[in-house]
Amino acid sequence: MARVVVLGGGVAGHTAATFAADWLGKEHEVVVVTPNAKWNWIPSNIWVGVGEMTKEEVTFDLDPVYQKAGITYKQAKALTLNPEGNASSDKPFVTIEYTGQGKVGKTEEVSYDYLINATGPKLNFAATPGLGDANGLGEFTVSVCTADHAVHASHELHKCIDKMKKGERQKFLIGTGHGMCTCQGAAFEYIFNIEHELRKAGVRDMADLQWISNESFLGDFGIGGLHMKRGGYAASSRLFAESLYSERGVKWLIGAHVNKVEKGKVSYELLDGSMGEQEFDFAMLIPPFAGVGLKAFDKAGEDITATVFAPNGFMKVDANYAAGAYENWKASDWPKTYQNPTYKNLFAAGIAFAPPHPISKPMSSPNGTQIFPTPPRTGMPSGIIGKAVAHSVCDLIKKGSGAHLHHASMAEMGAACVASAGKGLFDGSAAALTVYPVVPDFEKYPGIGRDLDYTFGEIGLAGHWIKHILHHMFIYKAKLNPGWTLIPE
Amino acid sequence: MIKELIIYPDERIKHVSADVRKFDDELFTLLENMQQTMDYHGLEALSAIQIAVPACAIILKSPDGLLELINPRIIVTEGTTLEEESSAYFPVGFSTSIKRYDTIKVVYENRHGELGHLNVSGNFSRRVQQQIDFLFGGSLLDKMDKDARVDVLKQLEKEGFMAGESCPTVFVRDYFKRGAKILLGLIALTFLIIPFVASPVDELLFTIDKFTLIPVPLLMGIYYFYALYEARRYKQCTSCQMGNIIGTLAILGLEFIIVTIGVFFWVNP
Repeated sequence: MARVVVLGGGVAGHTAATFAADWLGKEHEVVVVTPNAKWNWIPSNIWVGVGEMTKEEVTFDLDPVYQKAGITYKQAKALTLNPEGNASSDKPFVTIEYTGQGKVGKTEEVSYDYLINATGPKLNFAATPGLGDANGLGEFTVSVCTADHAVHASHELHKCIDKMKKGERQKFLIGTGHGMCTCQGAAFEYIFNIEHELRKAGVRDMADLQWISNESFLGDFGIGGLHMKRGGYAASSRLFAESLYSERGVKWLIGAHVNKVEKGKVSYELLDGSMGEQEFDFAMLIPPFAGVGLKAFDKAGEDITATVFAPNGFMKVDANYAAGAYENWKASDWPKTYQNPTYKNLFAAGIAFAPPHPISKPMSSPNGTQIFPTPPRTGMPSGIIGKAVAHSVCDLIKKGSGAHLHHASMAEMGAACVASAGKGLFDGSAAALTVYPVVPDFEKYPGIGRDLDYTFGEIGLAGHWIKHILHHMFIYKAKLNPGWTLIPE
Repeated sequence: MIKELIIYPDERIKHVSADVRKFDDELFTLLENMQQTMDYHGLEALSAIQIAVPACAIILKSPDGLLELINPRIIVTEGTTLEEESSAYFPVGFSTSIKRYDTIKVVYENRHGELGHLNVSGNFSRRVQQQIDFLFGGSLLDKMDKDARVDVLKQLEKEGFMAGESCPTVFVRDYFKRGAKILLGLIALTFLIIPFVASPVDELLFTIDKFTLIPVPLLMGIYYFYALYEARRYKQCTSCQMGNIIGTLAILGLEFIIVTIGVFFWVNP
């Protein structure tokens, strides 16, 4: 009997664990280690953050789902990794510390034959003074990165709406809280949901909305922009984003590294090296991501964290980490199997793998401050990668070490992006875009690196419906309801 | 070398330009060609895409001399103004009112890949914005609202400048959608009548409703396949007609289900 341990129960981890359990059956064991008791459909946190959905609508308990799937569930966080075992055993193991199940604080060594690291990111609020600290979100801003954060954001938003109803003008600052953030798409969706809610509440004229981000052009979204086919040519997402901001009266400021947050005020540095400040009454700033801080040790107890993990804390996989300057970047730099090059029974999926380099053009201010989006690994790629990794691990167990490893390169897969404003069935509007490949392949598709035959976009009610459908479909799938394996990632 | 300018209605102007990644002889040659073409045509500014090269490079005449902006980005804007604007892409003498940012901050690279920045206002700011729009596949037409754009396109058409194949104002598929909606509407009318009629009229209405329901899914099917055909034929008209087609079918399907439930649980005697 082989044991597969999956660290993390988000989109990538949950997908990997559930498929592995389904494919391996009862002959082998799948263990999920995640500090959370609930699964969260993160894209819908945006609706929680404006009070259009409750936390319960975007989360569900993991325990009964894992019981149904025959998965061993440990509500715990991983602390250290020993891929060679220790002095007393050659069996690799991971040390975990429980965060629930009545064993809070207790540690345990969980041995494994294969380990899939899908921990997701650490929300690195501490990277920007005032945005937060090692314990998480600070007191001056809100976030929609978790369901609990989104509930808090909704409360703060409605306090502002109440103030506006009493005649007090409010300023909303939404965007990224550091020069090296990703997830601009979530912030973009949130600012337009806020704008929608303010109009619905009849207080739009009392609000000033300001966008601030580390993108070098509006609509970059961390992937160098999306493109919409128009008469056989590609139109940039910059054009539609700029007209949307203008139409909705949202001011924007980009190429910005927020370097300090205080009560009612952020300080920032721009790509031209100048410094500035923005005041706010309500601010939702996405934090930068980092690895969760797992340490790795060899058999002798020596620290080998730098061997297994990149400096940002994400796990090294089969990527080319020596690509060098922007002009040398290739699609082939991106990982295909997500197998750790040193320890072949270690895999990473979703945000937990270390990307070889950004996707957007890297830029720095004259002061040397790096200001550009880091690569996003949204739900769709994370799910696809999680499934491919599970497939590889299952084949390795069933067919032996010579088994073919499955590929899921972000330079060979497309992704869909649906940014929706409003939640009603008939009063919402969304920008629905697809991009192929996620990572531009400049050799295969000279110029912008994208295949326009698989790239399209549309703004309107239809995209809004797609967002609704995705919400229900993926929660249905994640609960392992009948036919779940048929629903694509 | 002097190059030919792309002029309306040449749609290559819509091509998104790629970031310049290599600052080498190929770029220097491009910049030389752009300068010569700009001088030859007596222009104040030119983007690479205007000579059919989809690279993020523009050159402008400024009070301080020639400016070369590689991979330019507008990062800060302030104020807006509405002014008459013309462009070398459009026919000589053509101009239209365009709303643009009054003051902008631009970061860019020079021909050696070194970072620079500009703070510009007024007409020069408008000129920079127009050129940067070209790099992202946009022209003056993209800065107008829908009605103004239709008027301008008609005006250009009158002057003999025809854009690509025009989009039909009514798609044939919409007739099938309308047919299905009319049938559903007629059935819905019987819902109002049914409380006031007795047997055998109620049985007759139920029978009529059942037979009227049958063509609805057929019309939906025809709508779908004809819509696919039209989406392929008129793919220049919108970036994604499929989203609208699926959305329309979803709404129609929902209406069909509601009406069917009404027929069997409300009209059924």
